[in-house]
Amino acid sequence: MWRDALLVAGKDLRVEARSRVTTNQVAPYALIVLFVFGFAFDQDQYVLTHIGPGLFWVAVLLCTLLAVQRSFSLEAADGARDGLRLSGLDGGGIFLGKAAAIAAQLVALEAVLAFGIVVLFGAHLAHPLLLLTTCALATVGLAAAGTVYGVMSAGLRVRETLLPLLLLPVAAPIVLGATQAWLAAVGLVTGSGWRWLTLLGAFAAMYLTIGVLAFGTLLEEA
Amino acid sequence: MTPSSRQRPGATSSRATRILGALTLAGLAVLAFLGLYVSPPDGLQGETVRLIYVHPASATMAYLGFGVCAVASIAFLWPRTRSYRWDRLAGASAEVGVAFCVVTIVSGSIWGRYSWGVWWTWDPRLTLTALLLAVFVGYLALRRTGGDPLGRAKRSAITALCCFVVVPVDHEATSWWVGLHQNDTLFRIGKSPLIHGWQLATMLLSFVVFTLLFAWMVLHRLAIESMESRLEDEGYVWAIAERRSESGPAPAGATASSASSGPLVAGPLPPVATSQRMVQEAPGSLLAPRPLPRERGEAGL
Amino acid sequence: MSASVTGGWDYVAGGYGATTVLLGGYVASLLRRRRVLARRLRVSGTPVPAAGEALPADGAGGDDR
Repeated sequence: MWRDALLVAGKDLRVEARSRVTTNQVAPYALIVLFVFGFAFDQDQYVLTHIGPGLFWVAVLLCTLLAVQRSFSLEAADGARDGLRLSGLDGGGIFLGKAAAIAAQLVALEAVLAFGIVVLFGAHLAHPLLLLTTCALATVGLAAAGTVYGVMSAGLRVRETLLPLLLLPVAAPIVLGATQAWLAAVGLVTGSGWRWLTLLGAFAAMYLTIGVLAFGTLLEEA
Repeated sequence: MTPSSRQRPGATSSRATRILGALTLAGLAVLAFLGLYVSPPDGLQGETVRLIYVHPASATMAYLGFGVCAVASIAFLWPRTRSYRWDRLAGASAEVGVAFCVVTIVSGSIWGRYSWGVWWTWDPRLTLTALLLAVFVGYLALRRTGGDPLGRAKRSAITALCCFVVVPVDHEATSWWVGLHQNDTLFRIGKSPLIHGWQLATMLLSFVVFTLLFAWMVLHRLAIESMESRLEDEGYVWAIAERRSESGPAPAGATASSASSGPLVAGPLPPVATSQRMVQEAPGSLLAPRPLPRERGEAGL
Repeated sequence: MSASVTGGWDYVAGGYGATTVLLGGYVASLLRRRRVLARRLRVSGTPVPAAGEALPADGAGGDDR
């Protein structure tokens, strides 16, 4: 399963390295989202600093949608999904591979976005350990849930509209937990941020399990 | 619910659903009478305590709908019990659950405006209930996507299980986090209920009546699902048979021959009323031809 | 009893009214959909299934298509 995962992840990342869709389109989109938030909230540095962590995670969530859609539109062209189905790779392995590729792209986007909120919103990033752990767990959760719902809506005529409808409510706990942890880390709310990591961890574990178990079936029926 | 208990050939209601419907209507009338007139106002909440006869019961029905949906989804996914009847039950109960979830949120919002002074607050219970509604609206949207029926049913069943996870979290939200929403009034472990007398009786009645209403809605929603899938799967078979029977006078003994060999082979088909009886008599032979596979997959497959 | 304790009938009316409208609207939509489908089935000559009736395409238990 792990070898299959590495193969699929390698394939997705190689496609990305050659097509540069995430670098040339999604990353600029993420920064534009931050700019739009800036316009919408009246260029008030105080407000922006305080809601920065929330905006960061909303932007990550929007980028997740794009990354997931990109990841499954790769498979839609040239009958690639049939190739994947017939390849004999383990379903759980394909899931882990695609989720890992999405997670790798999300980490890169998060780095860009973190730079963006420091520069544009004047956020102070303290407690790097808590911030990085939060990022890791939330990214795994988002990538896993995104891959599950991505394959579910892949191959449907309405996938562009269906995926956000399915994924956004499901990902709401991640945005909540990650935002609270970040707010605690930068000292904007009192209390320890670590307890939110339990929520993030549980969510990631749940969707990883569902994905490994169900992905083969979902891919068959996609 | 045997088909023989049906009264009119074109109706989907049976004697059982009609009795259930009548009981529900009577129960709702009694509930309104007890809730609005007999039961006393509360010392703290005044008259608005009467909303307790609507709000918790509809929340419970929302949970029940989502619970039935999850159980039916498991039954569909389990290969030994796989049948599209479970898929239809999951869809029907989820939709009814969504209806009750909307009622819960709206009635709770009105109650909250009185008790807390706001229509909405970011209390864990409220937030999670809204989230629950959102995930099941997504589930219903996924069910309507069409395509291959088996794939759609499997996708929906797996999604239903993912969505159902919110229910226990939502139910425990008042105990796990401190919020504005109160805890359970009736079912408290090791303690007696917080209300008594007519209030308790009316509240218990509200659960019974809402369960009846829930059952009636799910049965009729199921009938609609059956009609939709029969129209998609077999409608063309019957329509062809109907056209053929119009083309010429039916030869003697047509009824017997079509009952034994199926409408596709046996040209003329008797009128609807007769064919319905035939379905009950010889469903296997009549409907033996497998329905056309519905549009398999979508573009790019 | 103060006015605030005895008051609140407007909220009760709102709550009961909203519930009635929402659930009534849902029931009305159920009945309307049922009527429309029954008519379409009659037009195509297909018998109307009873509530809970098994359909031939269902696949019995154990069927793992």
